[in-house]
Amino acid sequence: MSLAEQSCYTLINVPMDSEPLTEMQLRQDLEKGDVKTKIDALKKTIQMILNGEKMPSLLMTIIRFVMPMQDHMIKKLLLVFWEVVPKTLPDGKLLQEMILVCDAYRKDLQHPNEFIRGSTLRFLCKIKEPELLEPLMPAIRQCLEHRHSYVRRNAVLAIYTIFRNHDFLIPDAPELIANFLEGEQDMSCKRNAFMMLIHADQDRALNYLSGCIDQVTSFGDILQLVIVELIYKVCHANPSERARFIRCIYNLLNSSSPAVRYEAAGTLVTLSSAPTAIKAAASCYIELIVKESDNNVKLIVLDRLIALKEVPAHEKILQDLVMDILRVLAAPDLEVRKKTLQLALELITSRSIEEMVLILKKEVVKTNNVEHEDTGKYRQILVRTLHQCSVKFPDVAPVIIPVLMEFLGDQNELAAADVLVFMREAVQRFEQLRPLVLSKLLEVFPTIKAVKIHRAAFWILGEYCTSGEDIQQVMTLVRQSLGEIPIVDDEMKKAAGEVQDEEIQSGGAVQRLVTADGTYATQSALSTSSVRKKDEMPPLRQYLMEGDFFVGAALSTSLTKLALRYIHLHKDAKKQNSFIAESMLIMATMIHLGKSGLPTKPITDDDVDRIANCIRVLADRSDFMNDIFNKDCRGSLSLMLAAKIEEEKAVQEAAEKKVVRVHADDPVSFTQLINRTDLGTGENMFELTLSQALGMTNKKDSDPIGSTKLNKVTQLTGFSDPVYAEAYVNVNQYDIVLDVLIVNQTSDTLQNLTLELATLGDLKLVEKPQAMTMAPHDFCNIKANVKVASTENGIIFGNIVYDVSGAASDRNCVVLNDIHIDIMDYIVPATCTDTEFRQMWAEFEWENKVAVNTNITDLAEYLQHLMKCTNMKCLTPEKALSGDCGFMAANMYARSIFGEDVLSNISIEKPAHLGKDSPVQGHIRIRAKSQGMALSMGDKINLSQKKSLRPGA
Amino acid sequence: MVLLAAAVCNKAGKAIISRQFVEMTRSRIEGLLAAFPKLMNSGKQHTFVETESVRYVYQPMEKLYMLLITTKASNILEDLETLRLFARVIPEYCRNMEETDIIDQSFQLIFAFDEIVALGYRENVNLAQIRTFTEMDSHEEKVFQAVRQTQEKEAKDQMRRRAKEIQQKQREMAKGGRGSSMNSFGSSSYSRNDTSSVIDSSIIEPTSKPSYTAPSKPSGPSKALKLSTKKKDVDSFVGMLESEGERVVSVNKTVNNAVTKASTPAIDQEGVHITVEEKISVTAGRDGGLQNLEVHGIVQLKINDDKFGRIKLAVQNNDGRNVQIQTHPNVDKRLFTSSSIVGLKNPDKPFPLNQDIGVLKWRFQSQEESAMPLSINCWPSENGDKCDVNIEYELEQDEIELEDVLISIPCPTGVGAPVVGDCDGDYSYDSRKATLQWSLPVIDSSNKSGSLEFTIAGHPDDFFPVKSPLFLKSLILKDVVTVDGQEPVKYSKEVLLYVDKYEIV
Repeated sequence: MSLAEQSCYTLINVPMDSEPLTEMQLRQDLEKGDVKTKIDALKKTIQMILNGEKMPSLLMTIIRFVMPMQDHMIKKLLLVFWEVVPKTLPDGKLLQEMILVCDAYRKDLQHPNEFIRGSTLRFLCKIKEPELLEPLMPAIRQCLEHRHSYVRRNAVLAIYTIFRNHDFLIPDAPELIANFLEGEQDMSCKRNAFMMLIHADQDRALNYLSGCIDQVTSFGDILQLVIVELIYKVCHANPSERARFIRCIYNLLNSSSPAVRYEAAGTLVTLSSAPTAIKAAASCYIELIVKESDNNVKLIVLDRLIALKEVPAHEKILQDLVMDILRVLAAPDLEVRKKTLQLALELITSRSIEEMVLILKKEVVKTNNVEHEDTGKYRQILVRTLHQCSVKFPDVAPVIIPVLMEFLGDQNELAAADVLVFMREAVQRFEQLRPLVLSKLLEVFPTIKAVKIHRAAFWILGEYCTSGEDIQQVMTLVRQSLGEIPIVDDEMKKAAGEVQDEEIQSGGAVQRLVTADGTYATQSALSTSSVRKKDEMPPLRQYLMEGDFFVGAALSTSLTKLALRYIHLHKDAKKQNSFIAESMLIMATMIHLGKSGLPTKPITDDDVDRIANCIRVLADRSDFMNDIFNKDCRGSLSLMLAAKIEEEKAVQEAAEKKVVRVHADDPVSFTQLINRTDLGTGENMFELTLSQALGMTNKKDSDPIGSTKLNKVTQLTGFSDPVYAEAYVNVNQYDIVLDVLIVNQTSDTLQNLTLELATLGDLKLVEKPQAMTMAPHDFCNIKANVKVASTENGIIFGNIVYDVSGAASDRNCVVLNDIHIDIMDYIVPATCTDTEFRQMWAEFEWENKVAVNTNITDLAEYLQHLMKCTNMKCLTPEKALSGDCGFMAANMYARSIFGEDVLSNISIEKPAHLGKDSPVQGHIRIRAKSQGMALSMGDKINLSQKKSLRPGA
Repeated sequence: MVLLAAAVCNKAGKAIISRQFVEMTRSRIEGLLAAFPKLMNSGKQHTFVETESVRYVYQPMEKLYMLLITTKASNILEDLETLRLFARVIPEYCRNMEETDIIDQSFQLIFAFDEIVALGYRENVNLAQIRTFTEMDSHEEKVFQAVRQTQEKEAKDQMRRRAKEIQQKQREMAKGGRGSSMNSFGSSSYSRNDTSSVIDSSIIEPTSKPSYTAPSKPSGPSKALKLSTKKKDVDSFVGMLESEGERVVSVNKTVNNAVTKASTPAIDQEGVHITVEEKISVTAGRDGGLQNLEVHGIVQLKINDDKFGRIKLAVQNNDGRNVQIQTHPNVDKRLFTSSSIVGLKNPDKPFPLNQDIGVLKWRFQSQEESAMPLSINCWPSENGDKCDVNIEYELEQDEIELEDVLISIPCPTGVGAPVVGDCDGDYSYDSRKATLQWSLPVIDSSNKSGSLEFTIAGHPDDFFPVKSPLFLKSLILKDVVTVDGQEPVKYSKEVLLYVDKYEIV
């Protein structure tokens, strides 16, 4: 068995900077040294063996000179040594020296020191060879009766593993342990014995449990845990037993140990789906989340709750517990809160909505007092939740809106922006709410602090203010936030008047300064007053002065809308004209300011165009433009909202589709008729996860051997070489197994034939293949393991070296062809949200830009091809890609099994002037955290887009 | 819960050492550990990562991470507790908590890790226990080694004596004028004997316990003989040890140990072997009252010869006291209650061969003082800041004989050794455990009572609970006749009684 396949219990990563000791030196130390040198030498030996060295000559030295030592450290180190050292010959036979070792261990099992006995027993758990264990059996049995519990509990474990691996060595183990369990007092021993019975002989375990089922609550937590495990297992294998244990599990649900409560709750759910049981389990979970301070616990238990919710029958019960679930919000961690809110939102019903909104409102108020880095984000989540609440239950919207409006004045842009998105939807969809929203918005408008919020607020006001009063009020607000107009004149005045201000200031009239309109100048002698002056600049004017004219453009459109509406409302021509004039003045002054050079950045051409357009519309006042401004705008909003709702619905439907329904033609299964193996429909969770974790659930090779295996065979040498070699490359999750077939094509015996391999990239050879001798025309297989640590293009290269028997020449050498490791085996498509993508895009340091060079002429086809050959997933929705406009941009994302992210963005076009058959042009940008990943991905794309040429050619 | 592995990683997440608790291949564990640094998230307030197959739970510690890899169904609460324990173990061995430190102490850490988790399940241990377990400081071993030393010494002495005798004889023989060739032969054979005695002392002293060549496989001629010689040895070497300044803590332990061990293979077993085993645990009040006395007994039957597979045991229970007797589920209960005969329910089925089968169990519980085998009376009286303590014992039942009784009295720490005035038997003071050990080789009707007097600074309350892990040897009255087809069968019998707990609180 090769080192990589052997079970491994210890890993020590020692930096190999120093010169490694030779076997000679080690032997000297082990033989002659004092206790300390021996310890050091033994440690070195173990480390070297762990690193794949083989030191067969040291074995005897250790047996002769180290084994007889009585020093405790040496004894313990020896246990590790025997754990790691190969105990068999290559042909699987036990080494003869091991008999001596075995005898030494028999003595240790009878050692007066209880700890040596105990640790020796524990070591025996890891021994696989029955020949070694057999002579030790009587001694192991005796240890069961040792006075010290440390020995007993390890003896039980040893017996357990021996029975599991070779039951013929101790056929009466279950009985032995059952008897032992009866008389045992120590908790640890009892636990181990009970555990052994669970796995070896469930009936006995059950007998024991039924004997003491009433005292279960008084047991220690570790014993309770295995009892829960037993109950789970028994009930899983034999559902008819369920009834017996529900009571016991329920008792354990009130155990003093939270771990037991958690486990019991999980088991209770599998035992019974009665509402009371589910409710008890769910309350237990909630209690755990609230009481445990650790975030890990909270999150994982929340996951269990969410899993509980997935079952439709259980959802009803959880719905009653929504209020309890919301208690979790007291936890400070953002992730926990996010998950909780998500869960609560999914469980909300019309009965509980009002209460929930109340609680959420309280939470919102709470966030006002606490300033913490996460508060902003939390507030945002709260807003989103409230938003979704009101979408689900429109009745509560009037209650929610006032609360949410408070956020508009918030420093935090995120929460405020979310509020406005919500407002926009509410105003559009619920007509009855419009007056409320508008009045509220007008009220809080002066407190708004961020430019984006202003822009969005202007839009809502411009779109939905219909009454004359409202329109007038908006106008006043606009004037207020712009300050005196025309702005340029005002600013000039201010600049000129600065001197005066200065004088006044030195005169000591501070109050005048406060009332002053504020200037942009900072040459003031007193820095405090100048800062204050700056602050007092009306918000809109400040944005404009800073060069942000986009808000100006938005304001202009809103004003235009309002003005057009105003004309409809008021037939008085004078009023009409004055309003329009005012609007136009505002717009004009903005353009003026933009061109004046006063702001830090001049106005952009786009904004000028937009504002000028608005002025023109107001001047012309054509019906056509009126329609565009007042109807089509709103129409497009409602279109967008409708599309959004549709999308949500689709997602929901997709989720619902996953729910397994029983089809009419499904076979009915009768419990009585099912045979045992079929019964475990849901596999035993514990074993399933264990085998998953150990990587034993290998992907099933669904394809017949021919198609897949042969595809992966690489020829390593030529057919006319004296030694022919080919390798089958088997890629597992973290390692690559090379199965090399070597054929001796000569009629000489080849001696010392060694396969020497080396790697390039993030690959590591786990162990060197051994040398061998090959008869004429003989063939053999050699396996080599290569460890992979990250997704990078790896190359394995090497040669075969051998001696020809009888020939006096030097060693012969055959150089092997390189084996390229395909990274696509490690890359799996993954999804992430848009924001996550952007964030990663900004964070990742390595970018690889690949020019498109292909013969594919269709944009969509190219994208499909790329997705197929890179295993990446397209994040851009299908709709955005549909249609034919000659260019295309899409984001793709994938993740390696090592957890590395790789992002790519493709921008491709089909130049119109080149005709129909011209290939796709453009480039692909790949971003990744590590250089290797970005490079290999780029290589892959380069290679595969060229490849696509071949079938066509 | 199943804990797959525990690892210590450096700041970058690279594993420095890792110990696996379940069987897994090297490539798998290396892969899992290699994936960790990429999965590890900083800036979040939780410290676990779940992948498709496993869960990582970790805890940052200065420049290191303590990492556990568990299955996904594992109990997170349990895992976190284990993780905390792991994290506390590391500073025990590594002061600086740096990578180099971890590498230096890697084996120590691995040993400590082994104590925390067994086969993926958490053991119920605390930091202090881990320390004791890894230190492996066993009193029994020390005692054992001391015994060996004395034996060696004795053997040498005896050898020297013998050598002298032989020399003398030779001289006499030389005087007698025997042949010189004979002479030389004799001397050479003795010198050989000289060297071999170190290896196998039993040649020279056949009555002593077989020595270190086979340290724990007693093969002495008979149990009783072995015990008594051993005890003698113990007495002598304890005295010697103490004179050498060695601490000798609990003599009885080794003796007890030897007996229990010896009890299983035991004396020559006949075709049918019956073992009667009793365990006693006593808790008594300090003013003499008995709080609880519990005796558990078991009759074990071992059939060594398949001829006698189908037998019945006639049992006679003379004890009128309230003893609850239970039979093994396979034993015919009715037959037992009606005629006190132990036989299988299915008379055609034989008892299993070569196995110890418990056929009868009984439990006796009492609060009557007379049921107690040995009563211990402790009289502390305050005398200024000192305290005079009088302890006396009394054998309550004349017919039993107690061997190797050891009474340990806890003393207040930090006030020095107690001054012992009057003492029946031997005493020793263990300053490490702060206990005064009073040992009595044999208590029977000839020395029914005895006392110990000592003075020490302290308070009367300091002297409780007095513990007395003693070894009792007595005979429980049972008349056993074996019958198979009404034919008597030869059988061997063994009666054991040992003490679980004997405590005066």
